[in-house]
Amino acid sequence: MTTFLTILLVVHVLFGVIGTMSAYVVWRELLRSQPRQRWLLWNSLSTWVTWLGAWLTGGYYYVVYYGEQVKPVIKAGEYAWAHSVVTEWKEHIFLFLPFLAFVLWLELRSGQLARRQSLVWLSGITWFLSLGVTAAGVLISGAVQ
Amino acid sequence: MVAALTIIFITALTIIAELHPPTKDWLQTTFTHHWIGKSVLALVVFGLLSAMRYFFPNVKPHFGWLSGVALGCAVALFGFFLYEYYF
Amino acid sequence: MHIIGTALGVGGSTLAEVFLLHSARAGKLNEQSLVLIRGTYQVIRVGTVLLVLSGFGYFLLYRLEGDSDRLYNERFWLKMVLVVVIALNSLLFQQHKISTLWGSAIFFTSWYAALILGAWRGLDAAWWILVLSYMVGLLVVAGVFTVLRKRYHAPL
Repeated sequence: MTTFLTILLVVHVLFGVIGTMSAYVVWRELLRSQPRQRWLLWNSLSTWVTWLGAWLTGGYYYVVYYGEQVKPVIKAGEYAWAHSVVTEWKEHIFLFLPFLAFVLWLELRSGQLARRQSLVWLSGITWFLSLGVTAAGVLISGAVQ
Repeated sequence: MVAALTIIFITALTIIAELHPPTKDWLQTTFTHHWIGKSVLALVVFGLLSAMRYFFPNVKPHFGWLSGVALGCAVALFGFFLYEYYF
Repeated sequence: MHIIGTALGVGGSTLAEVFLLHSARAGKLNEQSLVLIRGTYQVIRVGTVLLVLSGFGYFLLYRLEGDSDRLYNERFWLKMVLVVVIALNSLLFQQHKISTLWGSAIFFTSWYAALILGAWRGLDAAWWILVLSYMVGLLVVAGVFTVLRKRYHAPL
């Protein structure tokens, strides 16, 4: 792997993890009796911006390197399901996350929180999906043996 | 509503591309990689639907069923890939 | 950074429990006690962030240095699960959906379990043994906390 691709992988993971942590903060803050508006806005912005970064960096790594170099290694090993099920799931579910986070941020910008209960559900499910994507990333990397 | 429809679109396109190789081939040749194609089309669909909302300003967003759609589609895709691998 | 995060989290959760019991013994949760407890929770949050970020640093190190098989290690996965348990417990605690006793017991046990799993390098046990040990540890901690709270008339 070239230095550039190594950096891309590191940045992809960092962005993803920071986004997941921000998503948790949004969910938690929305559950408070009096959510702090600025804290909510910053974290919801951080969520979709970092996930956008993870999308671009991970996408480049996936298209340029993973398909040719990593996928054959996984499929030839004892964890072939890690690509066929986990990578396939992850690469498509990940497409949901930036849209979910962006919509959440747009709604939180209004500052009204009129549909708070729905936003609580949305932020919670977004976080759980991001946890799944994170776990999938670990499983895929672990299968490269 | 816009995000929910985009997610349904991504899910449907993914399943169709897996079951109908010409669709996947079209994505591959048009966008150099099928995943890039899905990403670009998802953005286009989201953009177009968002623009259309300007013509229907009284339609309120439904976040409740957006959560359900996201979860449902995630489970559906997992089940699909699991089924494809083992059967 | 990972060790610092663990120290902050483990130390913080221990101190939080000490402050709560101390306040109960004094018979009141005054402003000063609240400030100390809130400060301790803030330290725990900082520790958690450091832990998660550095934990994924380790994950990247294993991946890039060809040590990928470590990523399928039971200890590694249980530590990740414990972080999620701590996060969910924190939410339940905030929403008053879990009693102070059980919330504190889960925090305490989870942090110390993560510390033990990280420090005990030679530990090679099956997944179900690790989970069972955690559950037993949780029950023991909850039992000890119950006795201490009854002794100091603290809320359960």
